[in-house]
Amino acid sequence: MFRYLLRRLVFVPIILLILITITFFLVRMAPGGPFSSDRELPPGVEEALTKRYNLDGSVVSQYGRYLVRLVQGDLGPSLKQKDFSVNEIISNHLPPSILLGITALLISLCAGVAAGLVSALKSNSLLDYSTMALAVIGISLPVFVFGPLLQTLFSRVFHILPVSGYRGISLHLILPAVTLGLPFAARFARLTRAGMLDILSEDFITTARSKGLTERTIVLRHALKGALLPVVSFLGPAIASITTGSLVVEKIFNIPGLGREFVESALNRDYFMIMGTVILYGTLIIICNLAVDIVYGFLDPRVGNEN
Amino acid sequence: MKTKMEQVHKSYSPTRLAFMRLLRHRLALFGLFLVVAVSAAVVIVPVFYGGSPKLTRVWLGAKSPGFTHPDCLSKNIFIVGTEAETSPSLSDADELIYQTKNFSRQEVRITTRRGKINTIMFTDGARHIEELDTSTLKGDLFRSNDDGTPGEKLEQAFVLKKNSAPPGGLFDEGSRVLMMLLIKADDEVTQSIVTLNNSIVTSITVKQDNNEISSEDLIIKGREVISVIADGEERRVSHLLGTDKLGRDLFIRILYGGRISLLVGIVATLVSIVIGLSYGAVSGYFGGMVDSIMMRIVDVLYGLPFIFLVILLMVLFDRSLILFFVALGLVQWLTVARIVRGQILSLRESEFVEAAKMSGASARKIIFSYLIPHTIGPVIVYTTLTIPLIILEESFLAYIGLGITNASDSLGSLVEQGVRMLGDAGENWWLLLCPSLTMIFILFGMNCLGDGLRDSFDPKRAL
Amino acid sequence: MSYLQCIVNISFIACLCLFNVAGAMADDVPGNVPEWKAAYVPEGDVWKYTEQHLTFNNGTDPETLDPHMMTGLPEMRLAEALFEGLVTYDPSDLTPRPGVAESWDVSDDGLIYTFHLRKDAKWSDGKEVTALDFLFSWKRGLDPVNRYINLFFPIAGAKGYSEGKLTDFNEVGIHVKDPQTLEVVLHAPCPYFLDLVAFPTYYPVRVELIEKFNEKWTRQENIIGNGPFVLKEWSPREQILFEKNPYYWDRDFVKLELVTVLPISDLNTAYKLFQDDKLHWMPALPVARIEELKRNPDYYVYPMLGTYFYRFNVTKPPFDDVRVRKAFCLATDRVEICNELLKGGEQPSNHFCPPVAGYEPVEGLKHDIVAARKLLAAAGYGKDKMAFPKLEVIYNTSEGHKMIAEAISQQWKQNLGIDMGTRNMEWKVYLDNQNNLDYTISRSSWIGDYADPFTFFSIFRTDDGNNRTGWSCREYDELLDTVSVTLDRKERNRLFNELEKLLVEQECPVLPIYDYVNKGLIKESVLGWEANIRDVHPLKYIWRE
Repeated sequence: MFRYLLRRLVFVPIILLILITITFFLVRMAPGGPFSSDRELPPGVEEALTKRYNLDGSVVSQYGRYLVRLVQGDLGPSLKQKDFSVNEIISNHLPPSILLGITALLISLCAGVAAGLVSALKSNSLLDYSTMALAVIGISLPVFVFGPLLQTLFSRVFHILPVSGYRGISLHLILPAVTLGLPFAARFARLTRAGMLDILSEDFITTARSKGLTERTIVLRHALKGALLPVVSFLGPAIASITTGSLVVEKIFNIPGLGREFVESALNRDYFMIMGTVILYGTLIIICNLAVDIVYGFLDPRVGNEN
Repeated sequence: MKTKMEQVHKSYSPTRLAFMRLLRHRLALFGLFLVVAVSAAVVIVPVFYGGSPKLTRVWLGAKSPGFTHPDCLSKNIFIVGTEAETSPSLSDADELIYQTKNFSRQEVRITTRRGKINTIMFTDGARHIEELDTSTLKGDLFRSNDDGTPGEKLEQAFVLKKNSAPPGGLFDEGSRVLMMLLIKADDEVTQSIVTLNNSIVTSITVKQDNNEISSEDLIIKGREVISVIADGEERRVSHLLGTDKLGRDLFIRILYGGRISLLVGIVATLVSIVIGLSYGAVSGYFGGMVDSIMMRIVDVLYGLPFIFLVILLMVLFDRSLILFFVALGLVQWLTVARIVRGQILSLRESEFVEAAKMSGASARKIIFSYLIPHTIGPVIVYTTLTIPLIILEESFLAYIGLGITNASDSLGSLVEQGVRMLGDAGENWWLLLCPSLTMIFILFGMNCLGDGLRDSFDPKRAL
Repeated sequence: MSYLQCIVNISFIACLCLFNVAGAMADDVPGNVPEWKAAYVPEGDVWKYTEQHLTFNNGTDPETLDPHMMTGLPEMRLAEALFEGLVTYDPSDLTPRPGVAESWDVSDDGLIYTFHLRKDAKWSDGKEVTALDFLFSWKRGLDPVNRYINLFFPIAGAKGYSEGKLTDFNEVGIHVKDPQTLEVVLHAPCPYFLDLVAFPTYYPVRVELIEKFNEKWTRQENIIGNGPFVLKEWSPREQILFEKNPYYWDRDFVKLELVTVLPISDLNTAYKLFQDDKLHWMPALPVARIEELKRNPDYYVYPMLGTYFYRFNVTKPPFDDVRVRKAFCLATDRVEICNELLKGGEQPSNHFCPPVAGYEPVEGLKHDIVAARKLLAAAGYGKDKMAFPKLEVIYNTSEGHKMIAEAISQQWKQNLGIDMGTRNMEWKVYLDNQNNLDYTISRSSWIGDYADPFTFFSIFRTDDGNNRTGWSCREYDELLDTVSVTLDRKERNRLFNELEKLLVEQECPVLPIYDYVNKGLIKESVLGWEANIRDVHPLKYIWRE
């Protein structure tokens, strides 16, 4: 296990470097630059700005200079939010995103797995069908539909939750987390149900039953671990998807997270911010995938160290 | 444990068995029905229903389902000797009679502050005035209903002055705003008669106040039309699902939107299949070092925030519709590659592959003729489960402003417009409900079908 | 009562009165305000019992709080609160009013402006604001990273200095006569110079702060301004808090104690907050719901100094032919767009410059389908003639622009028989295409920087960076040169009419659609807020009751 981890970890910086290089050159190719605006820049201003922000010289020399600063931990200035550096923006906006993402994931895992379990145990009943129907609606509509609807329902009609804003761990987090987690809860519900039904038809379950174990023990102790395998394998892509879903949720609920930076920096041609977010998310996803693989290894003893 | 059916028909091919299993999966069949029904609808119905998703009737605005109005366009242009330019469904008539009434409509908005009149404004042009003497207004004054239609007629005998109290009874209890409509309408209805011959205008006669005037050209504004009579029959247009803000028929827009969404989903998925299939097959077949490296690359790419690269690609290659499909497809091909590789790895040791090798078949032939057909099962499952994902991704891109342009809006765009137009009291509800339901049908259907296919192809997972 | 007792009683009562008056003075707004300011002095005492806290939605987190680096209206709204220039705007009619300068003299030839600074103007750390502060700030403003640097160019030598042609700053026409007197020399008379001096680019900044902290000088712990408010908190993307500046020279006049600025970009969410009374002012609205919003008593709409128009690329066929351009202008029904589609009070326009500073725009080309078709036929297009090439209108992604583009292209289809596609483009790509003349028709808008028609007409000079149509007309350029040295208002307006006739009646490189309006929502309890065409609402004059 340890050797496996080490082998995987060695690749991380290499992957990141490839990522950085591809992105660096790719963003320079996009039409338009960080300084173009509706109002034409007076002559000389563009050159001065370019020099001020280290964007002069050939792309290769800029790349070199960027790498040099990168190893010192300096991600550069933001070209759009001129009073802050990329490091500061990331440290300001990463915590809310992480909190939102984790809360959404937890809510969706609990709700989804529970719903899937119940459905599987009472399969082919009305409860099963209605839960699964709800689950499919959850993955059939985009997030930006649910957000405002939930907002209206719980803030304006029922007045129990705040409309928007971010106050750390508080009531303000509930609506955004639920909106963000809804599609994942739906998927987890379906996966759990399918996995559960699979396991329950296996031979060893019949054996356990004939041994006289209670249904409860069977489900929780023996079946669940195996049933959760597909759920765990979906966690990797889920975490990646949460980053894109979070953009919508952060916009609707005015949460100062990093999801918006992700897209807006691309749209604004904020080169250094783009690089910063790509590096950050790339690292996060790589680490998450690694973690998921490890958890998978614990859950399924049949999985070896290398597939 | 094989079912009785399988024991009896063990000579059937795996595909045939899977198909038979599918037929017994009720939910999957329902899903299949939905998919086929919706796809058929969006492909076939527009041909018969007619109309274009881009045809605007701005004067209508957003109207609820079932709304009908005279069959005319925003501008109906007739010039003697040329083709009549009006609603296409009227083009085969010999005689068209338009009843129109010239009218003008102005909206007046009054607000109060702390009991005193604060603003008096004509909404057009945001013209604010200090004083309004209603007796000097030309036309009839009505209260404006919530949907913009004239309500109670008001006696034009009061004066409104800024900073003085409004006349009693004018404002509703507790309300600080009053919307009124000033409507100037001709008393007389103008009747315009246009005769046609094979769509070419032959004569134009305008009857007004007992005068008959012949004319060489005539432009009729849609907003003034009271009725249209073609060959003695009154023609009206009815909007099954209502209209959007530009007066475009929602039903037709949903049909075309469904076409776009399905097209995007199918093509992007095909792109991902083509790339993933080839990649996974090559990797799985050659195995060893080649496989290791290729799968390592997949692992690397798996870690990339792909949607970000999609955004970059959309931005870079803004003009190309094809690249839009490719970009979306690129997000998904890794999964295909892994599935296919897994299948191929387990198959390449089997006997028929050995036999093919020994008979001297090239690697290419083996891969494409023997191995790949065996991966059809999982790939089909993948297809039905990926198309919904692509459709949702396209909605997301449309939401941030990077969606496809030019063509009429996709379902995701329509849903997004519906969300934005939804009022507090549920105004414009049909603009959200109808596209959403359509989207749910398609995606629900695909997902159920996909589930059923997956269960059918994998004997262990059969219900 | 004895005589002595009377005197004691009277004195006692007099003292009481004095105390009362003195006590009231501490809360009351000074009584001796100039007439134009009197409207912003609250009547009565209700305001004293209301919490003087305003919350408004700025729509976005500011890109910067540095007055020399900002380009957008949301940023300038905030700068207006934190800094004050020599001159400020009257909240209702935008006349230049005293700011840090309590008075100014203009020489007869209009070239020399002498500003007399008030003695009690202070920074938020207690230091005095002097003419030297302005000298150093404007010097910094001439550093070519300032995007509004061209607003300094009326000053003699400013342009040369910024381009490096002039190396000695003393030769630029900004002179400090004494700590309270600043003399500015222009190279040509500029009738709207005072408008420019009120612009954020001319605000004073503490240059030694900037040198010390670089871009961090705008942080709440570092920033020092001379405006009516100080920055209490800047939590990016969450909120910005302003507190009354205790050192501001006019602090007794400022009534608001605390201002919360929210950066909510989802306007539907902001509207929900407004309905919940958590927001008092929304300068931007979810326009898709305009019909519903109009019935909200807090809705307001006023004309704004801006114009929405389409640009033609006159360097490529078919729009290199003026007849085709005119045909398209004639075939567009702006009244339908404004009154039936937008319904927000936008004024349909056939002219380019909205009415401002006494300027009356020309008639322009009125909607006439028959004339449009004749012109198009004359240019060689139509049935039995050349087919019109399939082209596109481009616009930057926005639901509003999309609606208008789709409606107009349908109008052209019906009225001219021409099928123009519409295509949305991402903002930067759209800008790029416009700049490179890589388009056919492009949606555009122009907001005036100052209240004079010159800000609109100057952009169509040949090769001006904001021209972006490829149109070049020597007569137009010459007229521009003439009007920029003309001071007489009547003559200016006559010349502007000539310019406009060339632009929208004869040559038509642009297709005007409507004059902008300002729409928003503001609560009944907010007073001192006035509508004006530049959407300038200084927080100094606002209070709540």
